[in-house]
Amino acid sequence: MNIDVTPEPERPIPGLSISNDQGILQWISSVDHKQLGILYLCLSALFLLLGGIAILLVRTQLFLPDNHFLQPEAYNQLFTMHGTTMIFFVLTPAIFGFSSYLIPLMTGANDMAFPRLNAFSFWVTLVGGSLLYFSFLAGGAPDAGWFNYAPLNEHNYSSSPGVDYYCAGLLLGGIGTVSASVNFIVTILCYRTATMGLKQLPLFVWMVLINSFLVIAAFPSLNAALAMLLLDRQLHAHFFTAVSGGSAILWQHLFWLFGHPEVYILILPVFGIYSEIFPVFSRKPIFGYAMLVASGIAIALLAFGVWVHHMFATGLGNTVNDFFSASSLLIGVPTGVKIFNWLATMHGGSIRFPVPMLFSIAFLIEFTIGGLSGISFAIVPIDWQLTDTYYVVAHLHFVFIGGSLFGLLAGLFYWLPKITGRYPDERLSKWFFWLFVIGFNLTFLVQHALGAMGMPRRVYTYPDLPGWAFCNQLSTVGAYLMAIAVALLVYILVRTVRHGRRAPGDPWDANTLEWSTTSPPGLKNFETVIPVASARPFRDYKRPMEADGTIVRHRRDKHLNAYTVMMKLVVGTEAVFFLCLIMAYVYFGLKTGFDGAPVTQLDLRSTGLFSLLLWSSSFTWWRAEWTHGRKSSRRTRTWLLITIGLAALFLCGQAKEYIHLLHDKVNPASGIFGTAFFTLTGFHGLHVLIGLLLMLVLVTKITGSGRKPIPSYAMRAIGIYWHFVDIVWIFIFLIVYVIPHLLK
Amino acid sequence: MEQPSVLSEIPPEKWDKALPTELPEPTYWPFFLAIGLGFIFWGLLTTWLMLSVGFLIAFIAIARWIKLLDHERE
Repeated sequence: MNIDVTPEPERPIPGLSISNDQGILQWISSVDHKQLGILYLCLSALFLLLGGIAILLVRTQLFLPDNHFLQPEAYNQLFTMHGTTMIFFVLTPAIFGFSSYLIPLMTGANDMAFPRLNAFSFWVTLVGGSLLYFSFLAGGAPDAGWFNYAPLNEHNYSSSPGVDYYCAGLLLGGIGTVSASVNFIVTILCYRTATMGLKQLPLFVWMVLINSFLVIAAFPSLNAALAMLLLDRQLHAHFFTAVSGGSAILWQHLFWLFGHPEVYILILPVFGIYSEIFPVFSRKPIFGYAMLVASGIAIALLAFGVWVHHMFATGLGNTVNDFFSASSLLIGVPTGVKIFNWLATMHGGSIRFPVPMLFSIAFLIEFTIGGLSGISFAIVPIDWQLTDTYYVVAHLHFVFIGGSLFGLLAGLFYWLPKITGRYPDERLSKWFFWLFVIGFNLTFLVQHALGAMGMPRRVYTYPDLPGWAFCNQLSTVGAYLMAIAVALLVYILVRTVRHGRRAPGDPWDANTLEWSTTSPPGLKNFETVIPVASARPFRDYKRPMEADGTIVRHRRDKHLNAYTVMMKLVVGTEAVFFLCLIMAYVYFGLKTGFDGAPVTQLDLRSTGLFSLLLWSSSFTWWRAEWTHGRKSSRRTRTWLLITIGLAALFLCGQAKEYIHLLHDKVNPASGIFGTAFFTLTGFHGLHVLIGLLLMLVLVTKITGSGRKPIPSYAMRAIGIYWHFVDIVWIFIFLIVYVIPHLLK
Repeated sequence: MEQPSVLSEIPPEKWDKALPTELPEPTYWPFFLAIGLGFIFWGLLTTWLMLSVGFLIAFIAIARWIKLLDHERE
């Protein structure tokens, strides 16, 4: 049976050659999800090399006790850049590369819901990473570790601009990550083929969907913390300086409220990759599809309830420790469910062992080791004993490399024939696999022992204690083995693209829709899409007599408009951002009582009046939308102008209050009240300003006759944003103005 | 919801079309918006000159992006 839907293209990768008509400009201007996916993977590879070089220098320093190959300052910068790079600019972009490349192909779509936003997400991530590395030229890279604890991250302890570039780079990277996640969700919900219900989504797509919600809920916490830290460092605010009423522990709460979900952000889509690979190479359907989805959702929910296990050593008390100890033990259950699902999938199967499957099987072993060492950290006394030792380093690398990176490498070798249209050299690929796995275990297994012996992490050298030098030397040799393996991987990839044997559309006899296209796919993925009856639609097509299900035409959630869904997600992520700022304000208020600051001297009456103007703009906006629905451009414009006027008056009122406070010497640097007040109201004011600018754009578009009217979904989307801005102000007004006056 | 059917009963000409049916043209403006944002953040840490350049690039990129959407709508 001829299973190709479209003819084979001539070139291995569409537009990869820079000798075509546009050269590199074609890549810069591309909005094609496949090219952007490849760009994400290239970005990840570039930063993998940079982060890898950093850690090779660190491991060289640690080869001998009392070594002075690196000075402490350089050592601090290198391990900080290694961790930050690998998490934010290697693993995350690699996951997003696969997601961008595969989500439309696996769901029967031709592109992402917002192709230009997809391009922006990639470029802003690259700009963020570049800005982070620019710090080396600007006076010194960040040097406070990848989680950048306060007060070490404050200007007094880290006076080079490195931490500022850390904040800027991660904020930009965060913008790219969140916008890409919003795009994934909208694509899956609104653009998948009509016959594909949620129960037929490939498991990789399911995991990306869950993961994207996790991203938009977790990243605002990091963004809030980074914004606060930038204010501390640039405007001498006091969020994390305990001496002036701030709190160093607040940084840890905000960071780990993001940071622990981030661990799952880096593993859930990879679980999806394994869930595609195991059934294909075991020639069996996945065992427990529903349980794999449910356990993914459970992990995502529990991820927000375990962050304090990173903070057991801060002394939060037994009650808090007990709760988070229990929740941390609990999250092992859905993860364990997945492991058994994959084992059961292989059980009784006709297993093949190409490189993707080898990495998947190795993952089962390595990740289980990482999971068990992780469980040991849920036990508070063990955590107290082992925290900040090499045991933690070993654990997190078994999770991030043994779990995430092994999965990404499995995915790379699995989809490489699809992406390049060519097979990688199997013999060299197996060499790479064994070199990498041996190097990895040599590097990190011994670090469990080093940690148990008490060797602290992040110290640039160590004394010649029994066993320490030998273990460190093994670890360094292992790191260099991994480096050789990575060099071999680069060679394999280049050789595959240039000289690899041509691969057909479906080289693995696989199950999902991306294999129904050519290798590589044409610019347009599909004209028409195979009807989907199960989570294995392409297999059903190839073997109709063994099909898993019957075709049901789903409504593809047609009531969902892509733009309004996008705006709801944006508003959701912004809501979490404001929640973090509001909680910080309340926390400082309760902790310090704002130390006699003029919290009760704020002008309730005047601000109340301006607040009424802002809230009434929600009504005038609603009128603008209503008249727009009745095709009355003139009235719509009038209501829009009134809304703009009300918003502008509110901003004037806020400016008047700021001038009054600044005149009384209350500013972000004057004390914890000024810090919290100006940050909270300032960010809200910024959102009002953005809304106002959006409405001004709308007004310019509703002019003259003969032009097509503004689509109602655009009005609806901006309306969602505007109502959100007004609702946020209700909470701010109550907490900052009303309640303190009532308690006066 | 339509009646369930088996795959073999649906001829290829009745298969669903993939969305979006028309692909957007390549554009440089997402790239320039990212560059603009990069300059804005760089300017926040260094000098107002970089900040101004960032705002200028971002403004032009957003304006041209909106114009692109307008063009498609027309």
